[in-house]
Amino acid sequence: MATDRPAPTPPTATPPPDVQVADPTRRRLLAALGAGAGVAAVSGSTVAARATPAQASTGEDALDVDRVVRTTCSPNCTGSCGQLAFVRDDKVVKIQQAADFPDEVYNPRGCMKGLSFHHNIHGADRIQTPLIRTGDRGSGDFREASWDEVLDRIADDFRRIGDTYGYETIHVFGQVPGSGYVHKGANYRACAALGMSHGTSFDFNGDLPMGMPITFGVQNAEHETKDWANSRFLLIVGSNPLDTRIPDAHFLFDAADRGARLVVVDPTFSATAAKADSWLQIRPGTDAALALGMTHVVLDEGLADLGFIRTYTDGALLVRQDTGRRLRADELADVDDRGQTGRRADFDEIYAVWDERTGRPVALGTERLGMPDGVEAALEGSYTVTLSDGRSIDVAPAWSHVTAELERWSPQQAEQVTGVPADLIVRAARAYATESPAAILMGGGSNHWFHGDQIGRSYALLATVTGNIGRSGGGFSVYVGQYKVRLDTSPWWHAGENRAPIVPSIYFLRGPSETMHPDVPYPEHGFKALFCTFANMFVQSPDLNRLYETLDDLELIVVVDPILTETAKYADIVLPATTWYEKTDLTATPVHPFVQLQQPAIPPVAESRDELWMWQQIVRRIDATLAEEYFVPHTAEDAIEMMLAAGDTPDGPTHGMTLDRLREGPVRLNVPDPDVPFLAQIEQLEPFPPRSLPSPLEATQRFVPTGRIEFYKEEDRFIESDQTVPTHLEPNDDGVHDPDRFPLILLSPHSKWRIHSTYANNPWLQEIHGDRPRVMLHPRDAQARGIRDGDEIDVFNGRGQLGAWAHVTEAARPGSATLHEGWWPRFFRSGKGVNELTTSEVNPIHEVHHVANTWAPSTPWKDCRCEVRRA
Amino acid sequence: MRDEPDVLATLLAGQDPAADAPSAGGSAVDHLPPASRAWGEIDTRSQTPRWGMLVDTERCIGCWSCAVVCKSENDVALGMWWNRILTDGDDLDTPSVDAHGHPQMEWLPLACQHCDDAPCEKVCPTAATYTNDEGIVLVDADKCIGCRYCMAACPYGVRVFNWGEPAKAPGVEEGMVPARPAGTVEKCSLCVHRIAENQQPSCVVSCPAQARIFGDLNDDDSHINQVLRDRGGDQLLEQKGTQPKVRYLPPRRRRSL
Amino acid sequence: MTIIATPSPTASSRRPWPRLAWYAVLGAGLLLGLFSFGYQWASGLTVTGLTNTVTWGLYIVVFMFLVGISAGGLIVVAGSELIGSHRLESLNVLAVIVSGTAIAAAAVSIIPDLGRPEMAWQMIVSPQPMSPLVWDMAVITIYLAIAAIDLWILTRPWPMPRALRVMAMVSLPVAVLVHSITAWIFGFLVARPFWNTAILAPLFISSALVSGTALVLVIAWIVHRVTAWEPPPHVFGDLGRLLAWFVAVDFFLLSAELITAYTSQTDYHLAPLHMLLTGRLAPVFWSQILLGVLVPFVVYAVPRLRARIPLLVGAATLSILGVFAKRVDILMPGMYDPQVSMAPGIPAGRPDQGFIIDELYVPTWVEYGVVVGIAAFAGALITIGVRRYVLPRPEQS
Ligand SMILES: Nc1nc2c(c(=O)[nH]1)N[C@H]1C(S)=C(S)[C@@H](COP(=O)(O)OP(=O)(O)OC[C@H]3O[C@@H](n4cnc5c(=O)[nH]c(N)nc54)[C@H](O)[C@@H]3O)O[C@H]1N2
Ligand SMILES: Nc1nc2c(c(=O)[nH]1)N[C@H]1C(S)=C(S)[C@@H](COP(=O)(O)OP(=O)(O)OC[C@H]3O[C@@H](n4cnc5c(=O)[nH]c(N)nc54)[C@H](O)[C@@H]3O)O[C@H]1N2
Ligand code: SF4
Ligand code: SF4
Ligand code: SF4
Ligand code: SF4
Ligand code: SF4
Ligand SMILES: [Mo]
Repeated sequence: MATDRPAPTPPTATPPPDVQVADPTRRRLLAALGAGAGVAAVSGSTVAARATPAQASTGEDALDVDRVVRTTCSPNCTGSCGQLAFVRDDKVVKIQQAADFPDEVYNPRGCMKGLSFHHNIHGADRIQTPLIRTGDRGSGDFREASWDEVLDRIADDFRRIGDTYGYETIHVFGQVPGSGYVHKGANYRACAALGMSHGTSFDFNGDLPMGMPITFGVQNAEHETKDWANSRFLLIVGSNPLDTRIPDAHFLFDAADRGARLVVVDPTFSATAAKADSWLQIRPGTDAALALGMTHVVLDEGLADLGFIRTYTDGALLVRQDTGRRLRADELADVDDRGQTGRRADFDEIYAVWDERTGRPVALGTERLGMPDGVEAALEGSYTVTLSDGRSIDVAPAWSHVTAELERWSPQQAEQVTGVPADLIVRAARAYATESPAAILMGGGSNHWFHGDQIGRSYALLATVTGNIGRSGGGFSVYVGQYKVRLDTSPWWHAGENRAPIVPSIYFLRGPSETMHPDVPYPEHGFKALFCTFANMFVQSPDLNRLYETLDDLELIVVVDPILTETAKYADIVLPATTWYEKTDLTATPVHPFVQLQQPAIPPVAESRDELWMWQQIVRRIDATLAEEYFVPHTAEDAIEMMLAAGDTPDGPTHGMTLDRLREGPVRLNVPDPDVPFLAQIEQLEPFPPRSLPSPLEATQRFVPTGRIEFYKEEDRFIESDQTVPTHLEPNDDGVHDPDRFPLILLSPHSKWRIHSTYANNPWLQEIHGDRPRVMLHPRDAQARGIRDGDEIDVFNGRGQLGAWAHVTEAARPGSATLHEGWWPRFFRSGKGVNELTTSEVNPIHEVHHVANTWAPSTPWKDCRCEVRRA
Repeated sequence: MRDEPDVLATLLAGQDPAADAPSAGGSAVDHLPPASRAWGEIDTRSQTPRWGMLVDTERCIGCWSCAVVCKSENDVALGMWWNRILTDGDDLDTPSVDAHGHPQMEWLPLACQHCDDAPCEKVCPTAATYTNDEGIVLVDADKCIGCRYCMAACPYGVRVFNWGEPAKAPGVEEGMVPARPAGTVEKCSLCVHRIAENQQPSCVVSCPAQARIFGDLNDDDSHINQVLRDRGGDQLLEQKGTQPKVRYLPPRRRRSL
Repeated sequence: MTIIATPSPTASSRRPWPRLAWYAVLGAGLLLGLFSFGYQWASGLTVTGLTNTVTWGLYIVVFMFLVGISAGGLIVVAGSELIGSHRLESLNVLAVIVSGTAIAAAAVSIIPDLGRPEMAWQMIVSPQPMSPLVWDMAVITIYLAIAAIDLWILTRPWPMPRALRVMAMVSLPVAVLVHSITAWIFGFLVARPFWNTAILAPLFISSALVSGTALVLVIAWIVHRVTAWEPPPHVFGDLGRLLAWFVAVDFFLLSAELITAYTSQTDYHLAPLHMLLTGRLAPVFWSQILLGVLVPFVVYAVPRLRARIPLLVGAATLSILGVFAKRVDILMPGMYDPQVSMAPGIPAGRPDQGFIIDELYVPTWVEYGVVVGIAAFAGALITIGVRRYVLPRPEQS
């Protein structure tokens, strides 16, 4: 075909199925010959051996490479590690960290997975050409096709579906944006241009820590990881940085070197727990009770910073005892309105606090934090006020609701619920409150629960009560996912004025819920097509059996991936994507504030192409004018320059950043150093929340209408479900699966050896940790079921069943079964993977407001009961 | 057939890395970007260097980055490792339980210890195993007859043997040095080819936890000597008298709540 | 000095079929050995059951065993020569043939163990003087020469008693040395607790005496049965009596080592011990003790049993197997017990095998094939030697 560039290298023949043995003659010659010329002739390549002085006699002469290219490792991992690709004959022959971050403490970022990625680039599972399904979905029977054929077919089907049901019935699922703003952005741009629905990732991944928007009004806000080193006390909850933040884990030891204490809260003896000073082996799903118990002790022992509560939170704001809603100043007959009555936005209201000095309610606006001069706002007690209609009602500061709840959470009560001994809770609370600054690092283990919002709110409370918010070395940081949009992406992600309609992917999976927020643009006709890219959706989504059922309604499934994943096997059309060693993109991560380029090190492998090119081709076939306007004129570089320019204002994130500087290496975003969230709020008393890109500020301001850190929520659903203040609620699956019949909690944390499902097929990593999914069971649980280490077992619940192997170890908490997520189905004895068992249930609290990826239903992976038996 | 080939041609031009990248040969080190090159440089060396390494087992997180990068640096075949991370526990990444019922787990990265008194060298019948002027124990593949006596002699079990032709994953190539032929023994070379270009060994520059320190034991000013002076450094199986030049720092004392 | 008993000139020609069958067996064995070795050479040692944990296996066991036999045979002959006893004189030639064959076969058996046999010449052009393997190579060569000279002396039509005495004085220490050095190949390794003991050399020699003497006995009996060769009737009993002592000493030394290891009560020494007493080597160990030591000892020690030659030969055969088993019991604990044996273990050395923490070594058919070939080679040498030097030459008849 004429339009497509001929592949730069002749397509490589399909590699032999088994292990390939290096050509012995060539190797022996290479070893024997000292000089370059002969060798180059023999190998027919640019490989050449050079003798170096120290080893002239060893035969170990260094080989040449053609070039070394600096790029960024970009799986769905927060690492965002700068890597060097060493290239010989257009193959990546070594990957090593660039170690060129201007802030030396970040060097060298990387891990064993990134360093072995050349096995994924050139390995046996790499897709070579576009594929069209010939057998049943999932059979894996495909035929090779030309780009023209598949692109025509996709365009035709999209046009037909668009014309029949509307383009919004096409669901584009593209995973977290941080690992590539250009090509993932192209998904958004295409959706914006054509009107297709874009899916969500942060909420669908269960990473969206709903406690954050509820409490702080932000999508999330974490300290950059180097700030860990500034802590005196690190409380690590449900996070396993030694396995899941490998490039950052050393900051924990940097902190310990300076005398910090490490306390790990985890049901499992994780790698991080092994490095901790203390390990609190919590019952899964009960973190809120632990945080409340600790906060109880902090208050009890007079270690709380109540001034901080008054200044920055809604604690002093009065709540009507009759309605449970906050008292508005304009409801009062008489209010003292000296001082602060400005509003941050015109939809804001004026609230009221009780001044103990004057014994009167004082009006409080949202324009700035703090209290009006001279006001001594009450945090406790109950007061009577007169409304403008003359009625008298009782009001109480929000904080008194919080403390009333905290009353229940004595250390003994917390022990009852969490299984952590009360005296440890007391000592942990004391140390946390006194060894300052103290940081809480929360991860997926605590967040991935149906009531993960309550868990987050409870830890946020602990951090706030001790004044640790907005302080270097302190903070409440939730480290989850590569979700963060750190630049102004709007010129690239939007198509002019048009924005992609975004539908949380949980609704793609389950259909709309009864409690779904009306703002969700759920398509009238449901979904008719799926375009899945950058994701192994049919392995990594929750409640897989339910997901597979919905596939029958889909008229077209397109999967874009460099690797023939299980998801690709279910596709009607598979498009071979380039990897991040073969294209240009722009990346950033929540864990460090450096923007980096992906730069192609090798030409696209075989017939693979980058995603922007694919969209250019598809849109052009559907609507040439749209393509001309939004796609065809733009290269990846253009897209990058558009985004950099948009943020290049004095306060903008990309101030002074240019493409040329990025080509040289990482460039720091225009953020404070160290990058600590909420500094403007804490230091300048600006109202909460700061902006969460890419949403406009107005969208998230509504989450915290008081403009303050909110521990009291007055929206109806909070009141109805008795969740106005932080509290502990038992795991949701207890109500679905009878704990007597399904006594084990199935935890599926992230594996050290994979990034989700990526690298599951990497031969080196398999050599290290084996290729059998092993379910960790405590010896007691194993014994009760007659299971020995290594036995074949079945794991099952009402949603699914899985054939795996047992790993009997004291690392597991009694009553839990742990199977790391991300194993491909082909590694199991039977079943589709751990997500056959997980739940997709939606917490109505997550639907109180709606901003996709920001206040939306978060998936509760770990809220899952199961039983295990010997196979 | 579609039109607009010119537009596409421009579009795609930016995608071909080979187009403007230098294609001349030259050692990998020569090609390094300046910042990366500077990161890897050896801090200081004396007139007669004696190279050593120090591994901080407190900082080691058992991530195997050092082990993996060693494989691509040195073209170590499938099934072979010059460098690996042992778990001091029950099983890989699994704790053992001490007398008080407390689980415990630590990691021990293990490669050739570059013994000053190297048993492997003493038994090698052909002098294929030898110590170079800078204290690095090396194997000359050309002289090795594959008797594996050195493997029996090494107390650390760090030598591996090419039982057959080195096996590779299909399609994959790697290595900054040539592979060794079948029938020979190999092991960590301390990345001697990198030291020759004043770069630290690959495992050292690639350790994300900065748990490894490399340097000249004969140079008082080297970082490794400073740390050895301040914090000591244990030898593995010290009682064997092999005098390793690889040393280990123990984990920190834990503070209970 | 009398060399041999009067042969029956027609003995070998009378029944040609068994002889041809024996040649066929030898030939088939040699072919299998060559084929296996050729296959191994082409594919590499990857076709053996060896891994990076168990780097030495059957070939080295066979090597240790053969060196033992060679030393044993010669020590008996030279020993009696030096103390002036002539009771075993009639076995001299046979013993030298057995010894020479064994040492030649030992030298051959090391070749297939090399990763690059084609590079073996490196040991000659670039010997490393500290290596016991180099010493062993030297001493084996000397020893082979001694056996050849001995054989030459013994088979002269005229007696050379002085030369024989001189040779005995030379060969005895060399025999002891051959075996000690072979023991030291293992014994000098600080890496292997079970090998790294002073008793290893004496132990090697004592079991060498057992196996060497027992093999001379068995072969003498076989030659006696299948040919017309008639040794003096007392030699079998004499060898049996000697064996009683050798077995006793051998057992004593082994016990001394095991008890020392046991009383140390350190993991370091106990791990290999447990492997032998109760672990995976227990079947080999206990059958060696019972069938290879106790049963034969009773036969050797009780005159009434010893007098029954077939029984005695049976016992000697058990002794030989017992010593072979003992070689396994010495080699394997050292291999099975790496000093740094934490998870995930040692890289196996082949794709798809990953790491191995607890290797179970099972030789492959290739190794057995090669060993059969070595056995056939030894059988052929002995057959040739016996036909040439023990039996009268056909043309002489
Ligand atoms: N190697 C690797 N790194 C990764 C990823 C990967 O797949 N592999 N994925 C990346 C992504 S996208 C994410 S979201 C993060 C996730 O990484 P993390 O935030 O570390 O999350 P998990 O691994 O799911 O769980 C962490 C720990 O929580 C524990 N846990 C389970 N339930 C509970 C509980 O109820 N309470 C408490 N306190 N602890 C509990 C688990 O035992 C586990 O040790 O990692 C990122 N980094
Ligand atoms: N049970 C359970 N399930 C979980 C979790 C859990 O804790 N428990 N965690 C969840 C979390 S936090 C997350 S973030 C999700 C992650 O879920 P996913 O992001 O879907 O998982 P990955 O395996 O990382 O899939 C990424 C896919 O993108 C492909 N890819 C890589 N590079 C490119 C590229 O350049 N272009 C294209 N088109 N594709 C590319 C990879 O080959 C791979 O197939 O999993 C979730 N699933
Ligand atoms: S996988 Fe993640 S941590 Fe590892 S190198 Fe890549 S980005 Fe970094
Ligand atoms: S790279 Fe560093 S932290 Fe990782 S295993 Fe090696 S020494 Fe340990
Ligand atoms: S560690 Fe082993 S291989 Fe390395 S020098 Fe010491 S004995 Fe030799
Ligand atoms: S295997 Fe090679 S290096 Fe090892 S002792 Fe034998 S000849 Fe020397
Ligand atoms: S020094 Fe080089 S050869 Fe040795 S373990 Fe490190 S990377 Fe491998
Ligand atoms: Mo995630």
